[in-house]
Amino acid sequence: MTQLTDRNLMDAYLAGENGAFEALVRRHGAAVLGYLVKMTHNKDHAEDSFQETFQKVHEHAATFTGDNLKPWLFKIATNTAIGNWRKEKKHAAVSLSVPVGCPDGEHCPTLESTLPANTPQPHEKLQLDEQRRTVRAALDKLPEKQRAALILNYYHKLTYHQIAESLDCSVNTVKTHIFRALKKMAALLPNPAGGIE
Amino acid sequence: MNHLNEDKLIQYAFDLLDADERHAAQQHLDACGDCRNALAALKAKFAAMDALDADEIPADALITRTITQCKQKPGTEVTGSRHPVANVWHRVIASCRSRSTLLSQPNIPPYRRVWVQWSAAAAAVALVCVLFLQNLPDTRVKKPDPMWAKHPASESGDALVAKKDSDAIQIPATPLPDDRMAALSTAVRSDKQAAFTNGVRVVSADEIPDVPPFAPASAIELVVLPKPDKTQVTIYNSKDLTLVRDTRKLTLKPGWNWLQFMWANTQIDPTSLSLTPLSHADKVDIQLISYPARLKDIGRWLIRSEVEGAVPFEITYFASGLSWRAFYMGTMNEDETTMDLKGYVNVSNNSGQDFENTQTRLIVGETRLTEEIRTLAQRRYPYGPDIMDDKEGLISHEINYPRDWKDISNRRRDLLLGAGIAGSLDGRYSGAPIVYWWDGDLGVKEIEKTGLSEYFLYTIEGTEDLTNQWTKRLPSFDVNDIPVKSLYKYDDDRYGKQPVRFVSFKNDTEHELGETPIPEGNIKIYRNLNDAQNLSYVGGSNIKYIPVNEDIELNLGPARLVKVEPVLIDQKTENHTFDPKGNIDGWDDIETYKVTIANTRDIPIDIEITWNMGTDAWELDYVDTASTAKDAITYKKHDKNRARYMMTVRPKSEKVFGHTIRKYRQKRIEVYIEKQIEQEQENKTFTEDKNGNFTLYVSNQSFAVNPVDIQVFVDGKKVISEKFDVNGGKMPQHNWIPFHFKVNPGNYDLRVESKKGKAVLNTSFEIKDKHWAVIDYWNYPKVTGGAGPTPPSFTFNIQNKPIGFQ
Repeated sequence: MTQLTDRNLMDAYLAGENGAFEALVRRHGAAVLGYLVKMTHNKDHAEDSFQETFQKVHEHAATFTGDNLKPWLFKIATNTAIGNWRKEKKHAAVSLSVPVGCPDGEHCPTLESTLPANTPQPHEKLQLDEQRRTVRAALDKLPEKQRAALILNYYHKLTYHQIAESLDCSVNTVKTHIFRALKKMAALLPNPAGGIE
Repeated sequence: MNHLNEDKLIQYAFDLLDADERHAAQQHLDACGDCRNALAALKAKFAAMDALDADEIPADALITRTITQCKQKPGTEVTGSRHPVANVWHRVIASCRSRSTLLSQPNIPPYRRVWVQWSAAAAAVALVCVLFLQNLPDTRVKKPDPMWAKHPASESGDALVAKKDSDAIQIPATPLPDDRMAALSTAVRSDKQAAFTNGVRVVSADEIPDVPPFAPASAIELVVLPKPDKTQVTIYNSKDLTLVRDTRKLTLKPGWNWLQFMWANTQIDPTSLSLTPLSHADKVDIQLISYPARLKDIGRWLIRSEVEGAVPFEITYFASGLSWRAFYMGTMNEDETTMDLKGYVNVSNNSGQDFENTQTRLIVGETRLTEEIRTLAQRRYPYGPDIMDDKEGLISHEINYPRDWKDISNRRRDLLLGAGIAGSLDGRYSGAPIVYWWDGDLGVKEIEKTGLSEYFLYTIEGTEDLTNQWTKRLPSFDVNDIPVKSLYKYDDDRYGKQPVRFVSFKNDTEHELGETPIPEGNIKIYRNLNDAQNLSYVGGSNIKYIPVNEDIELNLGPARLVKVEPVLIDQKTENHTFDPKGNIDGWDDIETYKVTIANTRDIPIDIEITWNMGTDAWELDYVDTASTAKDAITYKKHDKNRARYMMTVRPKSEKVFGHTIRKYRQKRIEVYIEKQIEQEQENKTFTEDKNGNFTLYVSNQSFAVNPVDIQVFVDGKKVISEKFDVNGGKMPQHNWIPFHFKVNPGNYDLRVESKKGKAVLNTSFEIKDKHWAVIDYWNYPKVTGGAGPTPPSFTFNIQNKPIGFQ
């Protein structure tokens, strides 16, 4: 089926077409949730922020003037996640490395049935889980803005300009955030195994 | 040379350098291997980040919650904006807001700000006035009415297609909810409000014009396909073919309806599209399908309807891009005598479309298609010059096509439906599998399996969402405690120097299986190490399609904990022969080996060692060092040039045996053959033995010569010489006298003769194990009881099971 642009859907939604909003949620939901899970490192918090993000999109739909929704959406998601995280931090001292309600914080049993085609086998899965834990732990150690910039660039392939738009800063600041984040990650990530014996 | 430090390498790898720096870094990297290696190592380190997925699919419940929450807590900009004027007003406000944002930016010159402000204000006022006047009557309507319903459709429809084409309503990849579809279809309803039964009103045929309308000029005249209520996909893996069936309720107006279907960016074969009303079949007639000129991937059905309202339809078509593969996980118990086997099916959707709430069925077996669906799906037009098909009589894409299209596609559909659903593939099949519909969530899904004669149909229990570009893994079966045999095989020629591990079982009820064939797939096998259920990986293999009652032998690859080491101890030649000129024309090669089998595992293992001699003329002597029968080697000649040993090796121990092989070369091969013949003769024994393995019955079936003298010779040796009376038993002609012999396996010549009876029989027979045979003497000079005359003769019959006499 022909893919409508974000602008088409947003226009339709502003014109009173509720289905268009659902289409937007479905289109960008996976990216937003993926981003929020990595930002918050907690599935429950990520889902709360997810709802809040789209609530804000709904409320401020008319202020969206561009064609590509992603930078704007991630801007809202970033602000929501950081805001919620700060609130959480203020009210409860829950370690982020111990996710609530989900064994590994990201790959919950409910997703088990939607594993991608190259589903790893148990021994590979163990290795992959370990790798995920390491990456998540390293990401957690980054300051918010650096983490957000890196995630948006590395995982969501946003350009530096789009990230600048999302984080409300200049392109040079984005580059600095990303560089610092990568430097820290380089120190935190383990060296890959040294080849075949 | 100044090497690039880590900072520079990071900046280079992630494109954070400016153009000059990047160029310099690139030049250095081209010349410096160390830095290239450092860069590669850095990239490898960052590759660990790929372990996290970018996206996380939100659960449907979360999306529903989000949407519901937004509806409950409407935003200020959208609230009350159902009316077109209000919508436009909001958009004007929005644009004004964005304009004010724009104007607040310092880089806009003051004269442009003023110009933009005045222009925008004037345009906004003019637009609002025009739209307000156009829609003035609707503002007086308090309750929802057709115009209200019509508005979002036309408005959003126009908006939706603004960047596509002006002639069609597009269906988004994610279907919009039913309320929108209802709104769209309401737009084409007649204003006549008569009595509806179950949402449908029947109208008189007289009210419908005889001539259908010309193709619709605008979207407003179209009925658009709503979201399907139920969908079923049947995936024929072997042909990249999927049959899709879905049911949808279409809201028809009385008279002529155009229904639009789009398949852009999907792998649908448009020639296979079929639409069938599931109710009011006598009132709803699918007249034709047309493919509008200059519009790709769009088909429009013309439907003549004598009813008004929602009518359920079934749409079927073929698509490609869906596939499935099976895989298995086996877990053996600690002593590797039983295995738990779990089967899974991965269903992948790359068809370009989402299938929600779909029943999924999988076909194992080959189908025959003249065209590939993928090819059909990628044609410019469903029919036409680029897909000229004279047989079908369809030659142009610009006109409405006769109804043949439907028959054509139905024929092909029926072919495949036959294998999977309801009919016959070529008339041979019957007894169709049932189509299951199930609503709700079961938790763990199961796969229903139904046998077809040449196919096998697996129906996945319940329904699934098959999202485009996603793969779902579904459990197929879970069987515990399957008895298995574990065997190591050493065969230098086939597997190399390393022993290979095999696990075998049978797809039958004794092995807790046997209900269905097992589809081809990959299997990984693990072993439980202890009570804590710690697993160790044993090996992996590919399973071919395994019919019921067939054996399965899984090659799990080289075994690292078992070793076989043959060592050549001695090698020599002897028994040379010479031709008349004194040249060597024959000799024997003699090789002596010591073979050590090391089992470092904590359980005993069975191992089969196959030794290829490389010649047919060989002899072998082996020496077993075993001290107990349990450890002894079993040897047999496997075939004409291979020897095979079987043995059990105790845990964490070694077993050693030796063998000497004599290989006859050239002229000496004749000697070998002679020895073989002699050996065969020596091995032959044919001696009387009450408990022997060969029972030979002899009988006189003739009154003409009574008694008859019969001598039986086996390989020239007389084994029976007696007179046989036809009335020797209680009943005449029913006396078969048994003789028992002990006979070694081999081929034997048989001669039976009778001087008085004037008959001779020469034949041969083979003894492998236990056998029973009968020699009958026949002689009927006259016609007797309707049979005969029969000349004097013997018959001989042999079989490997006892003979019953009547």
